[in-house]
Amino acid sequence: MNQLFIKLEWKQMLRSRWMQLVGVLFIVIFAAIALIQQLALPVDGFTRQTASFLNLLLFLLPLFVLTIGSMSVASDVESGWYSLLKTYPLSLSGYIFGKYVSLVLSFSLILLLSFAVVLIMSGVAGAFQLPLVFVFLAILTVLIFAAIAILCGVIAKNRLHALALSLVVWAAALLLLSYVLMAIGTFVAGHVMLNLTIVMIHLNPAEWIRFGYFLFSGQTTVLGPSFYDFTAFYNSFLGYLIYIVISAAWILGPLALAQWLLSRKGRVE
Amino acid sequence: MKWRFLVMFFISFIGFSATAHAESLQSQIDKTPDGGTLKLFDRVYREQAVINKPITIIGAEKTLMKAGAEKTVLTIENAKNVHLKNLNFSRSNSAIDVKKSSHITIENIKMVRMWGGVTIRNSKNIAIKNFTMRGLDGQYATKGAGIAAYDSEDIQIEDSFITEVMDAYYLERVTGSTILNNKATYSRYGLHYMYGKDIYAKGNTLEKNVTGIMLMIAENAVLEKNNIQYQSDWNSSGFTLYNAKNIVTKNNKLIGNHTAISSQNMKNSVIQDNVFLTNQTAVEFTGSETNNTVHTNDFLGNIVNIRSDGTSSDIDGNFYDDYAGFDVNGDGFGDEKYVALQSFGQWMVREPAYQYFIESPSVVLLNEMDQQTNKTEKNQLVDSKPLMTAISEEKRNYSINYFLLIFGIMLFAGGIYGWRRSVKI
Repeated sequence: MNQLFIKLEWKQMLRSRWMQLVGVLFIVIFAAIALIQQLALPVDGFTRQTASFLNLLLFLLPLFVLTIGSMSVASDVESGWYSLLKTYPLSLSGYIFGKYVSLVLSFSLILLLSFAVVLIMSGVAGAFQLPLVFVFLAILTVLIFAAIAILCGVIAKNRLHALALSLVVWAAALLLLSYVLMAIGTFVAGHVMLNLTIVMIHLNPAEWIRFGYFLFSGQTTVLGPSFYDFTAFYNSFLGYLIYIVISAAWILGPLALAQWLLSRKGRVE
Repeated sequence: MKWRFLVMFFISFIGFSATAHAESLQSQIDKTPDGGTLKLFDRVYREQAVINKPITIIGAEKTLMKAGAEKTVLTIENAKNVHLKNLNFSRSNSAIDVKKSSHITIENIKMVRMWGGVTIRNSKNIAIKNFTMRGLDGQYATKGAGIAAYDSEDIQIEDSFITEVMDAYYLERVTGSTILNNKATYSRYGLHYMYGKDIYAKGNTLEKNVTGIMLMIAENAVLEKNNIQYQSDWNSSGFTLYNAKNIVTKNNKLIGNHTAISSQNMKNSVIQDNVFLTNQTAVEFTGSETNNTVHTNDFLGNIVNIRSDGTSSDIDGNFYDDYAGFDVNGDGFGDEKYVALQSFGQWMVREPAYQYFIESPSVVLLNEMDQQTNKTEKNQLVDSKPLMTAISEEKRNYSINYFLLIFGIMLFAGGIYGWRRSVKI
């Protein structure tokens, strides 16, 4: 039943006009980035071009994953499709897992097409323009934000509420928390600011993924000498292990919470 | 009888040449007349020697000199017109010490696994050419300098390559130094001046050091046509110009550095015609004066172009790749001023922890807002005549990679096919 549900969900997701438009949008954007990368000079390290690429990933992927994913779940509850599904031999965890997997697979297909376009552009220019760390981070972004999207969808009362909630989460993760921290930095001591930033890196999935870029591309020096001890720890075997554990927690935590909330909702109904 | 004579002659010949080969370096130097030339044997010399007269010493192809730890192989003291050529050194504390001497040339010298290379003290007119050195493994603090000069005059170093030492080229209280076409990598400082005067450095390549050129408490320097690249470690910089005055940095190419030029308390200096390419910060001023000028430079792909601690400099006629203005009157300059001032750039200088947010999504938006609000800024980090075209021209070659092209097309076609197949009822 679970497999059938995943197949059905994936089919519905791919049929959605919205998803098709997102696919086209991503292909166009990645093609544009690949073109810009080819115009850019062949220089290693963290440059404005690589920063733009990273920011585009961080801006667009979470936005679409969150909105599409959360509205898909909220729509199920709002339209009564979820109530119908409950009459079938499909467990709650099966439903959550099915929604999650179909969302991840759909966005993975979009990423596959986008990366294929970058490869074609790279082939024309003769230089490989797609660092593997970007591929890895794009997949991690989908995995983490798809879980958060499911949670947003479960919390929301209807589709509009899900959309609003997703946008709030997106804005907070990408912009607001950083601005709040920067503002706090104007009146607290430097070491307090440093510690708060380290806490925020762990508590904000967008910052966690951004930190992952610096970590896995060997560019931790970009963060400056204040973060020497912190990055030295994460560059060790234990550090990598903890990165994997925290990333897994960012995936499993929201999914577990979503399941608990949905089971509570079911009991209340 | 004839046979007996021949055998005796052969034995005495062998004995004589063995004695000549076994002769110590010091003995060979002592036997060479003033101004004479000593050609060394193809052997390993395991000793120390002192030179205090005019002499030319030329090594053979396999001449190797070793003195062991804590020892210097050759000491040139109170001498004039000493010329050393084609010598190889290894596994010693230091290769050559020059003390109170003048008109010394050191040419075609190679050394590996040495703590230090050449040390010059209280000397003048010293020329070093084609010097190659690889230092020891380990921390910078446990290594010496490649070429170090103290309290000397007229030092010239050309076409040399030094790697894995503390400071590749170190000059302290040296008046008149010319450093041309040298290379330094994987060292603490590539080129380090302390209390120097009349400095000229041209055509040097300084790559992957902590700092490319460190110029401290120095005056009257011209640093031109140097390639300063990938000094990207913690606290790294291409140039650190500290408490210096009358410094001209021109036509240098600074690529991929943490900070390309870090200017601290610099006075009456010029930064011109340089190319700043994809550095994290191109120019950073602390304690700057308005008589420092930054003009006709190219700023391409840097994350922060110019930042300061609030002190101002004269910035004029540079090209910025993120300038969004127009040149309606066609005079080659943008009609609107370029404001390099960024709130975030200022914060980073004052509180290093802010550096975490460098070019993050939130900071990119903040910089966009800054561009609008800073239009009213008149003095600080303002270029009133930004150039519309770059002074440099960087191009890359294109060639088709058929593997990537075909693989990409197959992946794309496969993805589209999979999508279409998945949505079929």
